[in-house]
Amino acid sequence: MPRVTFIPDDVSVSVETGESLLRAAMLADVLVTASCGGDGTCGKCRMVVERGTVRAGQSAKLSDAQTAAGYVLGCLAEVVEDVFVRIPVESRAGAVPLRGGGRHPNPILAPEECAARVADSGSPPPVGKRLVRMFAPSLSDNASDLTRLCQTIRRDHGLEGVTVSLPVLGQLPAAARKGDWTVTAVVAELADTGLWIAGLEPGDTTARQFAVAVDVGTTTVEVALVDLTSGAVVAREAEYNAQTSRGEDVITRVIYGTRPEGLRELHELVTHTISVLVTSACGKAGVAFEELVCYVAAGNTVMTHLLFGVTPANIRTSPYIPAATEFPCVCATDLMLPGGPSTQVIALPCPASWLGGDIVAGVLASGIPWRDELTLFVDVGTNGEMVLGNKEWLVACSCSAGPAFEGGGILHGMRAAQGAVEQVRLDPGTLEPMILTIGGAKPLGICGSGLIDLVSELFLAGAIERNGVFATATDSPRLRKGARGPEYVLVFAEESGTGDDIVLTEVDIDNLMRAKAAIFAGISILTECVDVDFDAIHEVIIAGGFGHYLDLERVTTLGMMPEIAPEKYVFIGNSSLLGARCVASSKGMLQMARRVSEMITYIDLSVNAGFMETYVSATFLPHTDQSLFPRTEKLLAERRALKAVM
Amino acid sequence: MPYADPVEQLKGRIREVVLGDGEGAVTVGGAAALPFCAFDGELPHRPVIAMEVFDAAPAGWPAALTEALGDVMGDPAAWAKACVEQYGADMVCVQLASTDPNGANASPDDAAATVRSVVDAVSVPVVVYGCGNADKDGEVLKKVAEALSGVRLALGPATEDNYKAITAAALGYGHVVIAETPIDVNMAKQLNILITQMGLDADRIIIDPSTGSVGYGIEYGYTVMERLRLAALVQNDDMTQMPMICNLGKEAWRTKEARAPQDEEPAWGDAHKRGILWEATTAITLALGGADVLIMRHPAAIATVRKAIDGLLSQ
Repeated sequence: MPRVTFIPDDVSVSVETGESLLRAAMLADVLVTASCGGDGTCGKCRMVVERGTVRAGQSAKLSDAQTAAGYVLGCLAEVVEDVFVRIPVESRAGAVPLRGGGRHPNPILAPEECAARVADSGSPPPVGKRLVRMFAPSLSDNASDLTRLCQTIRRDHGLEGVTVSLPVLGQLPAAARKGDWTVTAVVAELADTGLWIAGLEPGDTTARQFAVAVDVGTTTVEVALVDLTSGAVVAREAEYNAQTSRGEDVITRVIYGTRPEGLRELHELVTHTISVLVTSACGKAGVAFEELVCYVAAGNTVMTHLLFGVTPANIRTSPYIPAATEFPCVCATDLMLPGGPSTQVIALPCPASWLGGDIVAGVLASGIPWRDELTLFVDVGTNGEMVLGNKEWLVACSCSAGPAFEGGGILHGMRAAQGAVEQVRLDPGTLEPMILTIGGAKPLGICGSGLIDLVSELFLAGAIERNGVFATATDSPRLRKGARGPEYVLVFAEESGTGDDIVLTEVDIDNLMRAKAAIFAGISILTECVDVDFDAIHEVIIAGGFGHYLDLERVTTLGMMPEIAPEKYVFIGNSSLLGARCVASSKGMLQMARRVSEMITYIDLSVNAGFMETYVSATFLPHTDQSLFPRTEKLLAERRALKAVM
Repeated sequence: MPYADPVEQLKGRIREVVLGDGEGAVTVGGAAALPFCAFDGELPHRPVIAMEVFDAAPAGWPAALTEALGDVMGDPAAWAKACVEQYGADMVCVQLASTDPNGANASPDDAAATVRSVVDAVSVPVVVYGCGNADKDGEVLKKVAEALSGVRLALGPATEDNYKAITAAALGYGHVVIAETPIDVNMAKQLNILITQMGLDADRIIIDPSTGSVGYGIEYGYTVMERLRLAALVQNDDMTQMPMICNLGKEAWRTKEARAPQDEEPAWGDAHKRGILWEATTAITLALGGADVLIMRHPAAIATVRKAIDGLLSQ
């Protein structure tokens, strides 16, 4: 990877070819004024390439003389080789260059790295095609078609006690004869819950069998079409869950489901979303619906209920129990999902009302059930779910973090989409921002990682007090009294994509504080209840939408995660989908998923005496108990000292 | 082996906070043991009683109070004098109830004049409580602090919403801040951190942990006080090592049990005794929980509590 060295800061970082200089500066913690998010319109992030070349387009913001002198706009200049870049004085809002160690984008595990974590015994898929070559009957071998089929399956595949439904039996005589006593049987082998033939096709069609892994998220539904012969993902699609129109969060959905026809409506909306995605994926990959042998769905407990059209209403009322933790394997057509008559639907088990199949899938995908080392799995979303343990034991809890990390409840919050501010650095003196948006587009709002960056930067700069309110003794024009109280202007209207100022209010900070406190309190309770120190945790796996640019240092600055060595963190992406994929291609995985579900000890925080206290102590920056965050306190002291000399 | 009483080994100690100036100064706190557990460690200062003086004649008080206090009730200076000279109060607590913007809305200058008259009338330290409206208290206490520069008043309640104004005033004019939080150990700690970060020394803060009266959730307040004390002494937690003050007079005298006349509740017995007992029981409970300053209202209740504290300390 090419290396970018910034002077006068004298720090360098390695970045991917094609990455912008501004992004490189952000990673190197080199402060440059940048207020348009990387759109090339503010013209503030000027840099001078002193050695090496970059790929840069012409910018109207630079004069010909400047261009000739090596000036480029950092956001529009792409790194192609090792370069030395000087940050001119005018690109710095303040005088003090901040020395950071430089960071790297958080590595998200590649599929093969994930695969290496799970001990795959090479078992066949839970639903897959089996070639059955029967001896042709004769007068001397006059066993019935069905006996012949079962005997051959036992002989060739070692499957004992296969059952056959009446519709499949109806297909058998014709299929056997049409295929000249060779048929392909779709066999469902759900470990301890049954072994049956879901469908029959004449001849050998085993080369064409596909499974659909589905992550049924409250907000987003994602599917992966898996070729079971090769194990490869041949298409992947994602879309907002159409249920969102009936309520943003899980509880609202549960309530909606209690209306007349509400349950049916929610069921149809989610199956419709999945159908659209599967239709599109199959279209792209050239797969016929009849070639789908199975769906494996991973969703939280409420979503799983709604997928199956079973009421989740009782989760909401005491004693808060779900209708089921294990769902029966059904035919896709029963749920109005695309597929042939033999396409099966398997849902990952949901261990508790607030701990669903998505987490079981995540635990599976991150390989915890095979590891000796103590591992912490954290899925950060509207609900923060954490699992701690190893192959011997697992404890889990779920806490409501609120939608702040997804931009909800934040005045100018948005999901991590084009135009969302995802990285922020501030000049500690002037509070002038350096921002980067997703896609380098004009800023439209702030997403989760941007919010974490922004609040922690303001906190480190002394512009936010430990209790999350703006400090009054700051004379930056960006800190002002708005209609909603004190606010910080991240992007002025002329540079935003919305035409309005993008601001951060105290209510926003408060929502983020609650969210981060819930996550930290959940982790604290888990470690406390098994009496282990944070230091004993060998690895922290972060799942969910938080991507490459979630800054771990900032996450600990806020006190959202304990101060665990950064190298212990691993990012895994959408682990729910990954786990569903694992299960679709291996019945051993399905067995393990069931084991995980049974193994997990669920700690219900709503009845946990210590939770509220732990939570309140975490609603402070970084924490009421400052001794828990020595690194942050040191950083804070350094920043304050730096500010004092400015 | 001869028997020896076990002694609790405690790591921490409560800070000493000095209130008032000159000869009348009083030190509170300093405990190196749990309340009244002198056998475990030093308890250099006994819990003190700050007797209430209102800035205007209070309306609607039960007979038990009005009969005991009599004519001084309209005159803060005279009331304060009576507290000290007749009833032996260790301190006086001026309640600036009339500054409430929803009530008489007395001005900060009026309030400062009232406090001035009380300070001039007595030689004991003076505690000043605002009306509880965060914004108004910020304005009023700033004025009071300025007008009584160097007298070392205790100013409160400073809450999360107005601690900056009150702390700045205390810092500028040499007073002590009373940090009030709603019955929560962590929030108490957080406010102390915020106040000390403004530059006020930790030995110029007193914790008001908030309390209810007997029968109205005192258990919660008691538990939080007990836990604050344990954090301070056992865990040596710096930000909990402040003395505690309990503004209990208003809580006790707000209850139906303290207020209902005899004809309304004949089964409850003598209305006079009832109110006094309610206040005294509340105060003794809070002293046991670790209160260093008890803000009280009725002379007879005060006498009873003093006797109880004497008894507990002479053990």
